[in-house]
Amino acid sequence: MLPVLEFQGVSKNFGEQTVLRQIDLSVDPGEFLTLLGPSGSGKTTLLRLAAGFEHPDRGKVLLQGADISRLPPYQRRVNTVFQSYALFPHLTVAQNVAFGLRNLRLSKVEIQSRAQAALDMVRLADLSKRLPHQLSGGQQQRVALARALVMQPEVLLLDEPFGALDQRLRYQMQEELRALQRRLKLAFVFVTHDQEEALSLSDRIALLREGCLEQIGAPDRIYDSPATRFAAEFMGISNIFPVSDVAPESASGRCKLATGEAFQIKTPLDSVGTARFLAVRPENLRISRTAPPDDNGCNVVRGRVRQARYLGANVLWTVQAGSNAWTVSQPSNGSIETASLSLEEEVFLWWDARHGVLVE
Amino acid sequence: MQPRRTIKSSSTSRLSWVWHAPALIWLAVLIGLPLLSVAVLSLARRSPGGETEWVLGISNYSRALDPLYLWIHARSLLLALATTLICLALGFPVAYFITRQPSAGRRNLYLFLVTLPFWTSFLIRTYAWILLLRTEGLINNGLLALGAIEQPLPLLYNNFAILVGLVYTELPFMILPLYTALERIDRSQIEASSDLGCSAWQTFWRILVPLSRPGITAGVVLVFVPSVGAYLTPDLLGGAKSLMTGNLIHSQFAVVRDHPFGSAIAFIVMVGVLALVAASHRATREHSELRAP
Repeated sequence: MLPVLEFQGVSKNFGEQTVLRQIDLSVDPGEFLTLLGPSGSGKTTLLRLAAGFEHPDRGKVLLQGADISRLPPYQRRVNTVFQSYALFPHLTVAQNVAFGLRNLRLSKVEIQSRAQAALDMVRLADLSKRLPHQLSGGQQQRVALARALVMQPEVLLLDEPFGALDQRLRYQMQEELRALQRRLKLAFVFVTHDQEEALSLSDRIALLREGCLEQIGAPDRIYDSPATRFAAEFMGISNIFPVSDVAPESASGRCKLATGEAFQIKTPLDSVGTARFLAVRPENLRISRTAPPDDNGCNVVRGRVRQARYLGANVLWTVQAGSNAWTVSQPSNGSIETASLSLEEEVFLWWDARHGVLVE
Repeated sequence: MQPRRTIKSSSTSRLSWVWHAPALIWLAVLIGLPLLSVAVLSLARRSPGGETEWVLGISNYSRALDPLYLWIHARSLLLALATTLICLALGFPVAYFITRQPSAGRRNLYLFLVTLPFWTSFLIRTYAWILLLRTEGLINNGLLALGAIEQPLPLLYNNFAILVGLVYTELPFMILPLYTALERIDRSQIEASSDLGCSAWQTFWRILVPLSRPGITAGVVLVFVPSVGAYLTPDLLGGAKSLMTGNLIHSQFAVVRDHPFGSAIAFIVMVGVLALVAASHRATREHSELRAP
């Protein structure tokens, strides 16, 4: 299957600063691909290279197999939803949506009907005579979406489109966007720094770090099996400890931490040679006053409670075991025993061998 | 404003006249009185001896419509119009270029350079143009030395020289308001226009021009108004042949000593200019209503 959009060895510098290094990435037809990364990771620059606002220093950008690296934005069948929406303040909602259609040499009737259809799609037909400043943030967002989609691009590019919306509206718009994308079967490239947003929306996530592609894969794959320490941290794993030795044993293995403790590991060990850290998700740790009933297949750690942070749905415990501090996340409606743990109390932590991940 | 006024007690609103008083007195003494005296003077008559006779009538106004003077007004309007259009055509790219500078330091440097001519006397700058444009001037001598021309070009003491002088003088007054308007345009709006299929030229007409309209209006007024009434530039660069309205008014006061007629012309020019400013103000206000939150 021919990728609809493809980056081949793309590098980009701004003056002395390298923003992207040798990026190889392809977007499949109908795919929702998210570029995820902290600020400064190059995700927005990658998007702007696809839109044509920037041109690569090395490498190529291909659209449906054709090299578009040197084409200006107005000659690419690609459209963008901007972070600030970038609606035209002097034009009505309907005029904003019809803005690009006027460049397609369509008949007046067709421009009207296509703009109308786009407005219906985002449920803004009633507001078509309004000016952008008369709309709420969510409505402006929808106009920006309609204005880009009405052009029927090969790929829709979205640059942190929900950054300015409050949480509730954000969830609602995310849902709408995902439903729209499924219905249109159009390839979306979505930029965000919010891992939760990336996990809930994407078919695949491309994680970027300092201009390099760190890891790419389905959300559950990235979430459960981060390949690197950076990916593990970015995906919310806070228990990451240096590993001194990994010994494969048939389907499982044992890994020894630099601090001496040894643990059973059952995750795929294809990366054993390069493994440098053990990562365990805080939600996968159990905490209790007494030893676990059956430690078969479980790793057990003893330590003292150092801190408890109540976060509503969860309680975050910090447990000191030797020189390592472990973070445990437990539902706050968990056992009465957990709720009554006090500081400096001695506790048991345990976790299933399946939940230990070895990362670079 | 309406609700705020109802909250105010009557004593404070009566007191507000006190706060307004300095401005009102200033306006009355420095603008109201001179205008009134010009208006009254324009209705008087010049005696054969050059004195002002207080026989009131509108004969000065009917005389000002004589084809001889209309031609001078027409030339003033044409030169001012040409000056305005040339300033707009030159000023827009310059202002846009400055707004696109990445650093604030660079933008401020260019804005400083735009206003640099104000640091020298207007008279000296105009004389400098004489040195450049005259028959033995830098441009003619240079072109002759290069062999580009065989005879010196008639650059000075004509309409061309006036136009050069006016454009040179007025250009900063076009660039600065344009810069202010263009600076407010979000870069992503220009990118969005390009993203939606507009070439640079189409983006200029469909985004930049409508969004910078307040700046264009301000620049046009700021350039056109002084150009219509320009007096020194045509006097120094235009020679004796190229009379403009400003010179006509000056000569009525200083040479012919027909103060009433000079006042009448001055009044006609002022009313015409005021009408223009009012029209442009209305256009800008409509525009700002469109944008205001």
